[in-house]
Amino acid sequence: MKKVLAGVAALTLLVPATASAHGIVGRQDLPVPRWLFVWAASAVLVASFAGLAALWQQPQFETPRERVIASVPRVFEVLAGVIGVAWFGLVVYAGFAGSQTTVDNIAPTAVYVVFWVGFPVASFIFGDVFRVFSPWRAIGRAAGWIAKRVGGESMAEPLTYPARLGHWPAAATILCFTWLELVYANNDDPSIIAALALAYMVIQLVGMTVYGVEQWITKADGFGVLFGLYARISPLDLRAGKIRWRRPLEGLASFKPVAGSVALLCVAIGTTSFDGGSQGELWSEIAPHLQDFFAGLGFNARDALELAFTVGLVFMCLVVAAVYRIGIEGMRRIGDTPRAAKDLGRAFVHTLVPISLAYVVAHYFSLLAYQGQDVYRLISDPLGDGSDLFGTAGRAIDYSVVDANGIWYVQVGALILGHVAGLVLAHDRAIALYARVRDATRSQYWMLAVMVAFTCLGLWLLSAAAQS
Amino acid sequence: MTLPLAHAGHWLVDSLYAVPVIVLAAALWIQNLRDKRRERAEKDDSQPSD
Repeated sequence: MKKVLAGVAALTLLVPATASAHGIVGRQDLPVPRWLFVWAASAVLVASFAGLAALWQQPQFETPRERVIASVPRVFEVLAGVIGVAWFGLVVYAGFAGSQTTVDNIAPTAVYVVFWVGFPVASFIFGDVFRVFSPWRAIGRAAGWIAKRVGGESMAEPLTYPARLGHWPAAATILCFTWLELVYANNDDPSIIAALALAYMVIQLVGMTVYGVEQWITKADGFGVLFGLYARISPLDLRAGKIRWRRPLEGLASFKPVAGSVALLCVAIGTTSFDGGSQGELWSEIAPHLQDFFAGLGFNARDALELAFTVGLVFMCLVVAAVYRIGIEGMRRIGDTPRAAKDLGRAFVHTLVPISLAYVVAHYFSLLAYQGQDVYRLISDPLGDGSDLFGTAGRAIDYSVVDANGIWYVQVGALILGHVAGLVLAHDRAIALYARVRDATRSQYWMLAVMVAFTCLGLWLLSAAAQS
Repeated sequence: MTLPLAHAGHWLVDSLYAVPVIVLAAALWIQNLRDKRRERAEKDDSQPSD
């Protein structure tokens, strides 16, 4: 017994003292160790699973129950499109003509904070707002309207979007964008951001010209597709000039997955995971070795580091895909006849959407809370040339809006809620899919394992980032 | 590449984050065995004895 106690004492000496979090938001002073939050979050998921198995015996989301609560005048959509195009124009102009100092130019904040983090959060609350404000959709629709007026019936019909392409262009878009954000050395250079935004606009316009606005926007526009998926969590549905009210999460059950849908969500979760993981100690130990490896192949230090980070980014996407695949493989064997992994993977892919959103909220909440405030300053001086258009150019970021502990609790809460939502959706789909309730429950052991694995991974990455 | 033994404490704490996954995987494996055993028993019961 003494030997055991001595061993435990020796192990506790190895455990480091609570490390401080990001200096920018102060020190986290949590009442219990972070790993205990992970255990508690896992317990919540297991309890939710048991509750669903006992109380949720009929599919609830397969038949939509929605009602129209308001009509939206057509002029509103036109106005929103004009605002979207004007905002896009401002960002591109500021990127080229404004100060090339990152903090003085509105372009980096507009893209990485307002667009990349703000729209997912707004979509989950208000519905598909990006669809309304999307500048490329607005231009595409305006061009289509004009072409119809001028060309009349002689206008050629758009081509049918190839089924095999599905959401693959969207997945590639998100991977490229996150590569730019997390890997590329000049990721915050305003002129590069402006040039890439313009390039993306051109690609969208070409795609919409060939395949039609709606086909392209709902399949190939990475941001439109991803933000649209987040919007399906919302109880509000903005469609065809109407605002409909539905149960939260219900919109996801009616999502029709296509080729590349699984890849899109694995990329979305994997790249956000890498963002957290790349700030941790483990990555800071691995990255130099990878960089040395690429340097040994003849790359210069900067390229070698970018390649190392590219490997990490892709690796995390593959890890997420592998975890999901394990869950699907486990589910395949449940029931009288084995199901195709591809079909099952698509049938449950909508369960990854709330997880993806939870990862976004957890990883970028502090960015939105602090850097988001900087929009007040930048909107008065978007070019960083000393102007003060709205009298807010002197506005500073208030770092006291939320403290380090508050951020941690939001992160934990978002991850738990996101994964419980994923479990609910998976359980509902399983009941609809399997003939026997017992098989449905058994299949969900695997989804529970997937959800617990993602929760532990997410909190471990956040914890590692907070300690670094 | 040398093992980062100097950070053994961090590795130890990091491993605590994996405990729920390991426990759940073990529980899944046991439950799977139980289910298979029960299914086998149900099949045996449903077959007519000679």
